[in-house]
Amino acid sequence: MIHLYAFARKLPALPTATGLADTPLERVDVGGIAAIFTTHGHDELEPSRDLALVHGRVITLLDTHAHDVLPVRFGERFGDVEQLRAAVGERRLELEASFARVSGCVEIGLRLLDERRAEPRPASTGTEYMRALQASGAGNRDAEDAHRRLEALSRAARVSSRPGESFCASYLVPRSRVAEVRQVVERWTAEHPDVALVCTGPWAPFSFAMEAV
Amino acid sequence: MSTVAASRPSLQEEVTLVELVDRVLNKGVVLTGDVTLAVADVDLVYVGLRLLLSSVSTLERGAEDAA
Repeated sequence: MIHLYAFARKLPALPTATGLADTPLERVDVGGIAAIFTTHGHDELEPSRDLALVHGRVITLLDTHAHDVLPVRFGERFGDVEQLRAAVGERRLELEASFARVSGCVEIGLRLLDERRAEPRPASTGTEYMRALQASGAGNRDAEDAHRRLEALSRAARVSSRPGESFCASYLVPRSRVAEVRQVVERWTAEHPDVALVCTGPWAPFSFAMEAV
Repeated sequence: MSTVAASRPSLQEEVTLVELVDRVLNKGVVLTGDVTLAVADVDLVYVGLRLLLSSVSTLERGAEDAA
């Protein structure tokens, strides 16, 4: 069984590293696109948070060795290398378009932490409920202000939170502008000490690897 | 890069791990469209996030107590 991690362009050499179950990384090249994988026995891998982290760390490592990387979602498996090669061949144009979209960029994440949503407690009075609702909405309005500032520095932005949820978004930022983004976020958080907004990255462009739906 | 306060290294690390797991399970290229694993593992992310948020309020309570 083949476990797939990422596609890469201009990857001169695979880093000497292992993936899931300490298995060495391998590659197969299909028309300029390298698919990075490990080979396992059937039923060898029980999905878990730890395996997901290893998958993510392999992608992060590849991102430092290749010119461009397209992360693959955890759970993409193939019977053998020929099946993988055929699947890549069928989607080659789509993958080329994705590489063009993310080339030269990294992903930055923004998430509003709202403990009221983590531990929902029934409000004892209607007034209390309305107050909690208004406080939550205020956090999202602050987050949207930060969102506008980051969006202006980005090639693309995708908001993954739905209406009513705590704000969460990702930004596709040219590598040359990461320092500028960092300064904007630091300034913003200094101006809003009461808002639990966290910014993470730079990541490989996970959120922009597929066409927006 | 993270803007989580420097005085909270463990929280910063935890946020980073949750964000990475979230991306690995919910983002990225899908070739085969097999969503079984992603659906099964969404709860893991949610559990992680709940733990993280609990630790935020615990830290904040700790800071208030110390003040």
